[in-house]
Amino acid sequence: MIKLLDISKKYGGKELFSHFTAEFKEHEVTCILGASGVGKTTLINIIAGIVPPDGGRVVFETDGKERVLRGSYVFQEHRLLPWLDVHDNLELVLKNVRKSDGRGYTKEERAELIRKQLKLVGLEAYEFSDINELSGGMVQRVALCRAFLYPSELLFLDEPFKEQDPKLKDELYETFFRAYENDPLRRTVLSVTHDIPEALRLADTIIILSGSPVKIAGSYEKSEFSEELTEKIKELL
Amino acid sequence: MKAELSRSAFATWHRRVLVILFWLAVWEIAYLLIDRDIYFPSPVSVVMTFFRILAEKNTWIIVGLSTYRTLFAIVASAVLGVVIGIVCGLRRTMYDFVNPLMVILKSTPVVSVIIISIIWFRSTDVPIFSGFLMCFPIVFTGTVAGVRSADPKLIEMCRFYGVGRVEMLKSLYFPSAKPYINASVISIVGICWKAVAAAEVLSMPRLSIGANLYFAKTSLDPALLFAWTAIIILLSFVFETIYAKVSGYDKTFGHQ
Repeated sequence: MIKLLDISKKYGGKELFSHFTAEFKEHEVTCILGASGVGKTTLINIIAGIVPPDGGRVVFETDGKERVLRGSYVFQEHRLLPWLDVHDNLELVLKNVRKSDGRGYTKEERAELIRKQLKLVGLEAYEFSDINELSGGMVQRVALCRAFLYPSELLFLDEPFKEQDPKLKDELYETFFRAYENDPLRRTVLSVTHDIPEALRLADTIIILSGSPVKIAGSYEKSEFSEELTEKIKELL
Repeated sequence: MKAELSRSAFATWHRRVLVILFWLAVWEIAYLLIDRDIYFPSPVSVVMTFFRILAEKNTWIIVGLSTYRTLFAIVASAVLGVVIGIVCGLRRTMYDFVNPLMVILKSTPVVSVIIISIIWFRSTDVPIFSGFLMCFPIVFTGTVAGVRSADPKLIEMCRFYGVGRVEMLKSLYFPSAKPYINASVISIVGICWKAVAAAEVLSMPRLSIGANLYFAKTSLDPALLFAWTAIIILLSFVFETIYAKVSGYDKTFGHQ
Protein backbone atom coordinates (compact mmCIF):
# COMPACT_ATOMS: atom_id res chain seq x y z
CA MET A 1 0.00 0.00 0.00
CA ILE A 2 1.20 3.49 -0.84
CA LYS A 3 -0.13 6.05 1.60
CA LEU A 4 -0.01 9.80 1.13
CA LEU A 5 -0.47 11.35 4.53
CA ASP A 6 -1.41 15.00 4.88
CA ILE A 7 0.59 16.13 1.82
CA SER A 8 0.91 19.90 1.25
CA LYS A 9 2.69 21.54 -1.65
CA LYS A 10 2.83 25.10 -2.93
CA TYR A 11 4.05 26.13 -6.38
CA GLY A 12 4.73 29.79 -7.11
CA GLY A 13 2.46 30.94 -4.29
CA LYS A 14 -0.38 28.65 -5.46
CA GLU A 15 -1.48 25.97 -3.01
CA LEU A 16 -1.51 22.82 -5.15
CA PHE A 17 -2.04 20.30 -2.34
CA SER A 18 -3.32 21.03 1.13
CA HIS A 19 -3.51 18.16 3.65
CA PHE A 20 -4.01 15.76 0.76
CA THR A 21 -4.46 12.13 1.77
CA ALA A 22 -4.75 9.11 -0.53
CA GLU A 23 -4.00 5.40 -0.75
CA PHE A 24 -2.92 3.30 -3.71
CA LYS A 25 -3.11 -0.47 -3.86
CA GLU A 26 -0.05 -2.61 -4.53
CA HIS A 27 0.55 -4.78 -7.62
CA GLU A 28 -2.03 -3.06 -9.77
CA VAL A 29 -2.25 -0.21 -12.24
CA THR A 30 -3.70 2.98 -10.81
CA CYS A 31 -4.40 5.80 -13.23
CA ILE A 32 -4.48 9.29 -11.81
CA LEU A 33 -6.76 11.24 -14.09
CA GLY A 34 -7.05 14.99 -14.09
CA ALA A 35 -7.17 18.06 -16.30
CA SER A 36 -3.90 19.57 -17.56
CA GLY A 37 -2.13 21.57 -14.84
CA VAL A 38 -4.15 20.13 -11.96
CA GLY A 39 -1.00 18.73 -10.29
CA LYS A 40 -0.92 15.09 -11.44
CA THR A 41 2.78 15.09 -12.33
CA THR A 42 3.65 16.90 -9.10
CA LEU A 43 1.74 14.23 -7.18
CA ILE A 44 3.62 11.29 -8.69
CA ASN A 45 6.88 13.21 -8.40
CA ILE A 46 6.19 13.59 -4.68
CA ILE A 47 5.54 9.84 -4.43
CA ALA A 48 8.66 9.11 -6.53
CA GLY A 49 10.77 11.33 -4.26
CA ILE A 50 11.72 13.71 -7.08
CA VAL A 51 9.78 16.63 -5.57
CA PRO A 52 9.79 17.02 -1.78
CA PRO A 53 6.41 17.92 -0.23
CA ASP A 54 6.18 21.05 1.93
CA GLY A 55 4.36 18.99 4.53
CA GLY A 56 3.14 15.46 5.14
CA ARG A 57 4.76 12.20 4.14
CA VAL A 58 4.63 9.26 1.75
CA VAL A 59 4.58 5.81 3.30
CA PHE A 60 5.18 2.51 1.52
CA GLU A 61 3.68 -0.29 3.56
CA THR A 62 3.78 -4.04 3.06
CA ASP A 63 2.16 -6.40 5.58
CA GLY A 64 1.77 -3.52 8.00
CA LYS A 65 5.50 -2.68 7.88
CA GLU A 66 7.00 0.48 6.42
CA ARG A 67 9.51 -0.16 3.63
CA VAL A 68 11.78 1.78 1.33
CA LEU A 69 10.84 0.99 -2.26
CA ARG A 70 12.69 1.52 -5.52
CA GLY A 71 10.96 3.07 -8.49
CA SER A 72 11.20 3.13 -12.27
CA TYR A 73 9.91 6.06 -14.26
CA VAL A 74 8.72 6.56 -17.83
CA PHE A 75 8.78 10.30 -18.34
CA GLN A 76 6.76 12.37 -20.80
CA GLU A 77 9.91 12.65 -22.93
CA HIS A 78 12.00 9.53 -23.50
CA ARG A 79 15.02 10.91 -21.59
CA LEU A 80 17.46 8.56 -23.30
CA LEU A 81 21.05 9.69 -23.80
CA PRO A 82 21.22 10.57 -27.51
CA TRP A 83 24.93 9.74 -27.82
CA LEU A 84 24.49 6.17 -26.55
CA ASP A 85 22.92 3.30 -28.47
CA VAL A 86 19.88 1.35 -27.20
CA HIS A 87 22.00 -1.25 -25.39
CA ASP A 88 24.17 1.31 -23.59
CA ASN A 89 21.14 3.37 -22.57
CA LEU A 90 19.59 0.30 -20.98
CA GLU A 91 22.83 -0.92 -19.44
CA LEU A 92 23.37 2.48 -17.81
CA VAL A 93 20.57 1.93 -15.26
CA LEU A 94 21.78 -1.56 -14.38
CA LYS A 95 25.43 -0.76 -13.70
CA ASN A 96 24.88 0.45 -10.14
CA VAL A 97 22.21 -2.10 -9.19
CA ARG A 98 22.99 -4.60 -6.43
CA LYS A 99 21.37 -8.02 -6.38
CA SER A 100 19.96 -9.52 -3.17
CA ASP A 101 23.38 -11.08 -2.46
CA GLY A 102 24.89 -7.58 -2.49
CA ARG A 103 26.84 -8.09 -5.72
CA GLY A 104 26.33 -6.16 -8.93
CA TYR A 105 25.37 -7.69 -12.27
CA THR A 106 28.22 -8.90 -14.47
CA LYS A 107 28.44 -7.55 -18.02
CA GLU A 108 27.11 -10.87 -19.35
CA GLU A 109 24.16 -10.85 -16.92
CA ARG A 110 23.31 -7.29 -17.92
CA ALA A 111 23.48 -8.19 -21.61
CA GLU A 112 21.19 -11.17 -21.05
CA LEU A 113 18.62 -9.09 -19.13
CA ILE A 114 18.70 -6.40 -21.84
CA ARG A 115 18.20 -8.95 -24.63
CA LYS A 116 15.23 -10.54 -22.82
CA GLN A 117 13.53 -7.21 -22.11
CA LEU A 118 14.11 -5.90 -25.63
CA LYS A 119 12.51 -9.07 -27.01
CA LEU A 120 9.42 -8.40 -24.86
CA VAL A 121 9.00 -4.92 -26.33
CA GLY A 122 9.82 -6.15 -29.84
CA LEU A 123 13.06 -4.24 -30.26
CA GLU A 124 15.63 -7.05 -30.17
CA ALA A 125 16.76 -6.17 -33.70
CA TYR A 126 17.56 -2.61 -32.61
CA GLU A 127 19.79 -3.37 -29.62
CA PHE A 128 22.81 -1.61 -31.09
CA SER A 129 20.95 1.11 -33.01
CA ASP A 130 21.55 4.77 -32.28
CA ILE A 131 18.69 6.46 -30.46
CA ASN A 132 18.50 9.09 -33.22
CA GLU A 133 17.82 6.37 -35.81
CA LEU A 134 14.64 5.19 -34.04
CA SER A 135 11.10 6.48 -34.57
CA GLY A 136 9.21 8.30 -31.77
CA GLY A 137 7.24 5.17 -30.90
CA MET A 138 10.33 2.96 -30.82
CA VAL A 139 12.16 5.42 -28.60
CA GLN A 140 9.25 5.42 -26.13
CA ARG A 141 9.33 1.60 -26.19
CA VAL A 142 13.03 1.74 -25.25
CA ALA A 143 12.07 4.04 -22.34
CA LEU A 144 9.39 1.52 -21.26
CA CYS A 145 11.94 -1.26 -21.62
CA ARG A 146 14.37 0.66 -19.37
CA ALA A 147 11.69 1.08 -16.71
CA PHE A 148 10.86 -2.65 -16.67
CA LEU A 149 14.53 -3.63 -16.83
CA TYR A 150 15.38 -1.67 -13.69
CA PRO A 151 14.54 -3.78 -10.63
CA SER A 152 11.91 -1.78 -8.74
CA GLU A 153 8.69 -2.22 -6.87
CA LEU A 154 7.02 0.91 -8.27
CA LEU A 155 6.60 2.09 -11.83
CA PHE A 156 5.63 5.69 -12.57
CA LEU A 157 4.20 6.62 -15.95
CA ASP A 158 3.91 10.34 -16.61
CA GLU A 159 1.82 10.53 -19.79
CA PRO A 160 4.45 8.70 -21.85
CA PHE A 161 1.99 8.02 -24.69
CA LYS A 162 0.80 11.62 -24.92
CA GLU A 163 2.55 12.72 -28.10
CA GLN A 164 1.75 9.58 -30.13
CA ASP A 165 -0.93 9.12 -32.80
CA PRO A 166 -3.84 6.72 -31.98
CA LYS A 167 -2.38 3.75 -33.91
CA LEU A 168 1.01 4.12 -32.25
CA LYS A 169 -0.68 4.56 -28.85
CA ASP A 170 -2.40 1.19 -29.34
CA GLU A 171 0.95 -0.42 -30.12
CA LEU A 172 2.50 1.18 -27.04
CA TYR A 173 -0.37 -0.02 -24.79
CA GLU A 174 0.18 -3.55 -26.16
CA THR A 175 3.90 -3.23 -25.48
CA PHE A 176 3.19 -2.00 -21.96
CA PHE A 177 0.83 -4.90 -21.20
CA ARG A 178 3.26 -7.47 -22.65
CA ALA A 179 6.03 -6.14 -20.39
CA TYR A 180 3.69 -5.74 -17.39
CA GLU A 181 2.19 -9.22 -17.63
CA ASN A 182 5.62 -10.82 -18.00
CA ASP A 183 7.10 -8.78 -15.18
CA PRO A 184 8.36 -11.13 -12.45
CA LEU A 185 8.46 -8.21 -9.98
CA ARG A 186 4.68 -7.53 -10.21
CA ARG A 187 5.24 -3.82 -9.92
CA THR A 188 2.75 -1.32 -8.59
CA VAL A 189 2.05 1.08 -11.45
CA LEU A 190 1.02 4.69 -10.95
CA SER A 191 0.11 6.30 -14.23
CA VAL A 192 -0.80 9.92 -14.81
CA THR A 193 -2.97 10.96 -17.72
CA HIS A 194 -5.68 13.36 -18.85
CA ASP A 195 -6.81 10.88 -21.52
CA ILE A 196 -9.98 9.06 -20.33
CA PRO A 197 -9.85 6.17 -22.88
CA GLU A 198 -6.20 5.58 -21.93
CA ALA A 199 -7.07 5.42 -18.23
CA LEU A 200 -9.95 3.03 -18.91
CA ARG A 201 -7.66 0.83 -20.99
CA LEU A 202 -4.70 0.70 -18.62
CA ALA A 203 -6.11 1.02 -15.12
CA ASP A 204 -7.33 -1.38 -12.48
CA THR A 205 -8.30 1.68 -10.48
CA ILE A 206 -8.92 5.23 -11.65
CA ILE A 207 -8.52 8.17 -9.30
CA ILE A 208 -9.89 11.52 -10.45
CA LEU A 209 -8.17 14.68 -9.28
CA SER A 210 -9.74 18.11 -9.53
CA GLY A 211 -9.99 21.44 -7.78
CA SER A 212 -7.50 23.81 -6.26
CA PRO A 213 -6.13 22.75 -3.84
CA VAL A 214 -6.44 19.29 -5.36
CA LYS A 215 -9.04 16.86 -4.01
CA ILE A 216 -9.94 13.33 -5.02
CA ALA A 217 -13.17 13.78 -6.97
CA GLY A 218 -13.76 10.08 -7.47
CA SER A 219 -12.19 6.63 -7.30
CA TYR A 220 -13.36 3.73 -9.47
CA GLU A 221 -12.46 0.04 -9.73
CA LYS A 222 -12.19 -1.81 -13.04
CA SER A 223 -15.53 -3.57 -12.36
CA GLU A 224 -17.25 -0.18 -12.44
CA PHE A 225 -15.82 0.89 -15.84
CA SER A 226 -18.66 1.60 -18.28
CA GLU A 227 -19.99 4.10 -20.83
CA GLU A 228 -21.86 5.91 -18.04
CA LEU A 229 -18.67 6.16 -16.00
CA THR A 230 -16.91 7.78 -18.98
CA GLU A 231 -19.60 10.45 -19.07
CA LYS A 232 -19.39 10.89 -15.31
CA ILE A 233 -15.60 11.27 -15.43
CA LYS A 234 -15.95 13.91 -18.17
CA GLU A 235 -18.23 15.89 -15.88
CA LEU A 236 -15.87 15.53 -12.93
CA LEU A 237 -12.91 16.80 -14.99
CA MET B 1 26.62 11.49 -57.83
CA LYS B 2 30.37 10.83 -57.57
CA ALA B 3 31.04 13.09 -60.55
CA GLU B 4 28.90 15.83 -58.95
CA LEU B 5 30.88 15.56 -55.73
CA SER B 6 34.24 15.76 -57.45
CA ARG B 7 32.98 18.75 -59.49
CA SER B 8 31.93 20.56 -56.28
CA ALA B 9 35.26 19.68 -54.58
CA PHE B 10 37.08 21.04 -57.62
CA ALA B 11 34.98 24.23 -57.48
CA THR B 12 35.85 24.67 -53.77
CA TRP B 13 39.57 24.29 -54.43
CA HIS B 14 39.34 26.53 -57.45
CA ARG B 15 37.73 29.22 -55.28
CA ARG B 16 40.36 28.82 -52.56
CA VAL B 17 43.25 29.15 -55.02
CA LEU B 18 41.63 32.27 -56.48
CA VAL B 19 41.27 33.81 -53.00
CA ILE B 20 44.94 33.09 -52.23
CA LEU B 21 46.02 34.57 -55.57
CA PHE B 22 43.89 37.66 -54.89
CA TRP B 23 45.56 38.32 -51.53
CA LEU B 24 49.02 37.65 -52.95
CA ALA B 25 48.23 40.25 -55.62
CA VAL B 26 47.14 42.74 -52.92
CA TRP B 27 50.41 42.04 -51.07
CA GLU B 28 52.48 42.56 -54.23
CA ILE B 29 50.65 45.84 -55.00
CA ALA B 30 51.24 47.04 -51.41
CA TYR B 31 54.90 46.10 -51.77
CA LEU B 32 55.19 48.02 -55.04
CA LEU B 33 53.47 51.07 -53.51
CA ILE B 34 55.63 51.10 -50.36
CA ASP B 35 58.72 50.21 -52.39
CA ARG B 36 60.98 49.74 -49.33
CA ASP B 37 62.15 46.13 -48.74
CA ILE B 38 63.23 47.02 -45.23
CA TYR B 39 59.64 47.87 -44.20
CA PHE B 40 57.61 45.51 -46.30
CA PRO B 41 59.07 42.52 -48.18
CA SER B 42 57.73 41.22 -51.48
CA PRO B 43 55.79 37.94 -51.51
CA VAL B 44 58.42 36.49 -53.86
CA SER B 45 61.29 37.19 -51.45
CA VAL B 46 59.29 35.81 -48.51
CA VAL B 47 58.45 32.60 -50.38
CA MET B 48 62.08 32.21 -51.44
CA THR B 49 63.30 32.81 -47.85
CA PHE B 50 60.65 30.39 -46.58
CA PHE B 51 61.96 27.56 -48.78
CA ARG B 52 65.57 28.51 -48.08
CA ILE B 53 65.15 28.16 -44.30
CA LEU B 54 63.16 24.96 -44.75
CA ALA B 55 66.13 23.50 -46.59
CA GLU B 56 68.35 24.11 -43.55
CA LYS B 57 68.71 21.13 -41.19
CA ASN B 58 68.73 23.40 -38.13
CA THR B 59 65.27 24.78 -39.01
CA TRP B 60 63.68 21.37 -38.42
CA ILE B 61 65.34 21.10 -35.00
CA ILE B 62 64.10 24.61 -34.14
CA VAL B 63 60.58 23.83 -35.41
CA GLY B 64 60.63 20.52 -33.53
CA LEU B 65 61.61 22.15 -30.22
CA SER B 66 59.08 25.00 -30.54
CA THR B 67 56.41 22.45 -31.50
CA TYR B 68 57.31 20.38 -28.44
CA ARG B 69 56.91 23.45 -26.17
CA THR B 70 53.57 24.41 -27.75
CA LEU B 71 52.25 20.86 -27.68
CA PHE B 72 53.28 20.49 -24.03
CA ALA B 73 51.45 23.72 -23.11
CA ILE B 74 48.33 22.73 -25.11
CA VAL B 75 48.14 19.23 -23.64
CA ALA B 76 48.77 20.44 -20.07
CA SER B 77 46.17 23.22 -20.31
CA ALA B 78 43.64 20.94 -22.03
CA VAL B 79 44.01 18.11 -19.50
CA LEU B 80 44.02 20.33 -16.41
CA GLY B 81 41.37 22.66 -17.87
CA VAL B 82 39.01 19.74 -18.51
CA VAL B 83 39.61 18.03 -15.15
CA ILE B 84 39.32 21.18 -13.03
CA GLY B 85 36.52 22.50 -15.27
CA ILE B 86 34.46 19.34 -14.72
CA VAL B 87 34.96 19.50 -10.95
CA CYS B 88 34.03 23.21 -10.88
CA GLY B 89 31.11 22.69 -13.27
CA LEU B 90 29.65 20.15 -10.87
CA ARG B 91 30.53 21.87 -7.60
CA ARG B 92 29.50 25.50 -7.23
CA THR B 93 31.72 25.99 -4.16
CA MET B 94 34.77 24.82 -6.06
CA TYR B 95 33.87 27.11 -8.95
CA ASP B 96 33.54 30.12 -6.63
CA PHE B 97 36.92 29.21 -5.17
CA VAL B 98 38.78 28.76 -8.51
CA ASN B 99 37.01 31.30 -10.73
CA PRO B 100 38.68 34.49 -9.35
CA LEU B 101 42.06 33.02 -10.34
CA MET B 102 40.73 32.33 -13.85
CA VAL B 103 39.36 35.87 -14.16
CA ILE B 104 42.78 37.26 -13.21
CA LEU B 105 44.60 34.92 -15.62
CA LYS B 106 42.24 35.84 -18.48
CA SER B 107 42.82 39.56 -17.96
CA THR B 108 46.59 39.37 -17.41
CA PRO B 109 48.60 40.64 -20.42
CA VAL B 110 50.65 37.86 -21.98
CA VAL B 111 53.79 39.99 -21.69
CA SER B 112 53.39 40.23 -17.88
CA VAL B 113 53.10 36.45 -17.69
CA ILE B 114 56.23 36.06 -19.84
CA ILE B 115 58.30 38.50 -17.81
CA ILE B 116 57.36 36.95 -14.48
CA SER B 117 58.06 33.48 -15.97
CA ILE B 118 61.53 34.64 -17.04
CA ILE B 119 62.23 35.43 -13.37
CA TRP B 120 60.90 32.06 -12.21
CA PHE B 121 61.97 29.56 -14.89
CA ARG B 122 64.74 28.53 -17.30
CA SER B 123 64.48 30.13 -20.74
CA THR B 124 63.36 26.83 -22.34
CA ASP B 125 60.48 26.45 -19.85
CA VAL B 126 59.19 30.04 -20.05
CA PRO B 127 57.27 29.47 -23.33
CA ILE B 128 55.62 26.33 -21.93
CA PHE B 129 54.49 28.06 -18.75
CA SER B 130 53.33 31.20 -20.58
CA GLY B 131 51.40 29.15 -23.18
CA PHE B 132 49.83 27.09 -20.41
CA LEU B 133 48.71 30.14 -18.39
CA MET B 134 47.19 31.77 -21.48
CA CYS B 135 45.28 28.63 -22.57
CA PHE B 136 44.26 26.94 -19.33
CA PRO B 137 41.51 29.46 -18.37
CA ILE B 138 39.95 29.17 -21.86
CA VAL B 139 39.61 25.37 -21.62
CA PHE B 140 38.46 25.70 -18.01
CA THR B 141 35.70 28.19 -18.91
CA GLY B 142 34.57 26.10 -21.90
CA THR B 143 34.43 22.92 -19.82
CA VAL B 144 32.47 24.57 -17.00
CA ALA B 145 29.95 25.92 -19.53
CA GLY B 146 29.74 22.48 -21.17
CA VAL B 147 29.14 20.62 -17.92
CA ARG B 148 26.47 23.15 -16.95
CA SER B 149 24.79 22.68 -20.33
CA ALA B 150 23.93 19.06 -19.45
CA ASP B 151 20.16 18.57 -19.83
CA PRO B 152 18.59 18.79 -16.33
CA LYS B 153 15.95 16.25 -17.40
CA LEU B 154 18.67 13.71 -18.20
CA ILE B 155 20.35 14.49 -14.87
CA GLU B 156 17.03 13.89 -13.12
CA MET B 157 16.60 10.58 -14.98
CA CYS B 158 20.11 9.41 -14.04
CA ARG B 159 19.63 10.36 -10.39
CA PHE B 160 16.22 8.67 -10.28
CA TYR B 161 17.66 5.41 -11.63
CA GLY B 162 20.59 5.63 -9.20
CA VAL B 163 23.26 5.89 -11.92
CA GLY B 164 26.68 6.10 -10.22
CA ARG B 165 28.76 9.29 -10.15
CA VAL B 166 31.54 7.97 -12.38
CA GLU B 167 29.02 6.62 -14.87
CA MET B 168 27.16 9.96 -14.89
CA LEU B 169 30.43 11.73 -15.55
CA LYS B 170 31.33 9.34 -18.36
CA SER B 171 27.91 8.97 -19.96
CA LEU B 172 26.23 12.32 -19.29
CA TYR B 173 28.46 15.21 -18.27
CA PHE B 174 31.46 14.52 -20.49
CA PRO B 175 29.44 13.98 -23.71
CA SER B 176 27.41 17.13 -22.91
CA ALA B 177 30.61 19.13 -22.43
CA LYS B 178 32.45 17.64 -25.43
CA PRO B 179 31.39 20.24 -28.04
CA TYR B 180 32.42 23.05 -25.66
CA ILE B 181 35.73 21.35 -24.85
CA ASN B 182 36.50 20.82 -28.54
CA ALA B 183 35.66 24.43 -29.40
CA SER B 184 37.92 25.73 -26.64
CA VAL B 185 40.79 23.37 -27.52
CA ILE B 186 40.55 24.41 -31.20
CA SER B 187 40.71 28.06 -30.15
CA ILE B 188 43.71 27.58 -27.81
CA VAL B 189 45.85 26.05 -30.56
CA GLY B 190 46.32 29.43 -32.29
CA ILE B 191 46.55 31.33 -29.01
CA CYS B 192 49.18 28.93 -27.67
CA TRP B 193 51.40 29.26 -30.76
CA LYS B 194 51.22 33.06 -30.40
CA ALA B 195 51.97 32.97 -26.67
CA VAL B 196 54.85 30.49 -27.07
CA ALA B 197 56.39 32.53 -29.92
CA ALA B 198 56.11 35.75 -27.88
CA ALA B 199 57.66 34.03 -24.86
CA GLU B 200 60.48 32.65 -26.99
CA VAL B 201 61.20 36.16 -28.34
CA LEU B 202 61.58 37.49 -24.81
CA SER B 203 63.20 34.50 -23.07
CA MET B 204 65.40 33.57 -26.06
CA PRO B 205 65.86 29.81 -25.79
CA ARG B 206 68.80 29.06 -28.12
CA LEU B 207 66.85 26.79 -30.48
CA SER B 208 63.44 28.37 -30.95
CA ILE B 209 61.29 30.05 -33.59
CA GLY B 210 60.95 33.10 -31.31
CA ALA B 211 64.73 33.56 -31.10
CA ASN B 212 64.85 33.46 -34.92
CA LEU B 213 62.07 36.07 -35.11
CA TYR B 214 64.18 38.25 -32.83
CA PHE B 215 67.28 37.59 -34.96
CA ALA B 216 65.32 38.58 -38.12
CA LYS B 217 64.34 41.85 -36.42
CA THR B 218 67.87 42.73 -35.27
CA SER B 219 69.32 41.90 -38.67
CA LEU B 220 66.64 44.03 -40.35
CA ASP B 221 65.50 41.13 -42.51
CA PRO B 222 61.68 41.42 -42.82
CA ALA B 223 61.56 38.61 -45.40
CA LEU B 224 63.06 36.26 -42.81
CA LEU B 225 60.62 37.61 -40.17
CA PHE B 226 57.66 36.95 -42.49
CA ALA B 227 58.99 33.48 -43.39
CA TRP B 228 59.25 32.40 -39.73
CA THR B 229 55.82 33.90 -39.07
CA ALA B 230 54.46 31.87 -41.99
CA ILE B 231 55.91 28.73 -40.39
CA ILE B 232 54.05 29.52 -37.12
CA ILE B 233 50.79 30.13 -39.03
CA LEU B 234 51.21 26.88 -40.97
CA LEU B 235 51.97 24.87 -37.83
CA SER B 236 48.98 26.38 -36.04
CA PHE B 237 46.74 25.52 -39.00
CA VAL B 238 48.09 21.94 -39.15
CA PHE B 239 47.53 21.47 -35.39
CA GLU B 240 43.97 22.79 -35.61
CA THR B 241 43.17 20.60 -38.60
CA ILE B 242 44.60 17.47 -36.96
CA TYR B 243 42.65 18.12 -33.75
CA ALA B 244 39.45 18.82 -35.67
CA LYS B 245 39.86 15.57 -37.64
CA VAL B 246 40.66 13.48 -34.55
CA SER B 247 37.82 14.93 -32.45
CA GLY B 248 35.29 15.01 -35.31
CA TYR B 249 34.79 18.76 -34.78
CA ASP B 250 33.61 20.84 -37.76
CA LYS B 251 35.94 23.87 -37.72
CA THR B 252 33.78 25.83 -40.11
CA PHE B 253 30.50 25.57 -38.27
CA GLY B 254 31.47 24.33 -34.83
CA HIS B 255 29.39 21.14 -35.14
CA GLN B 256 30.37 17.78 -33.66
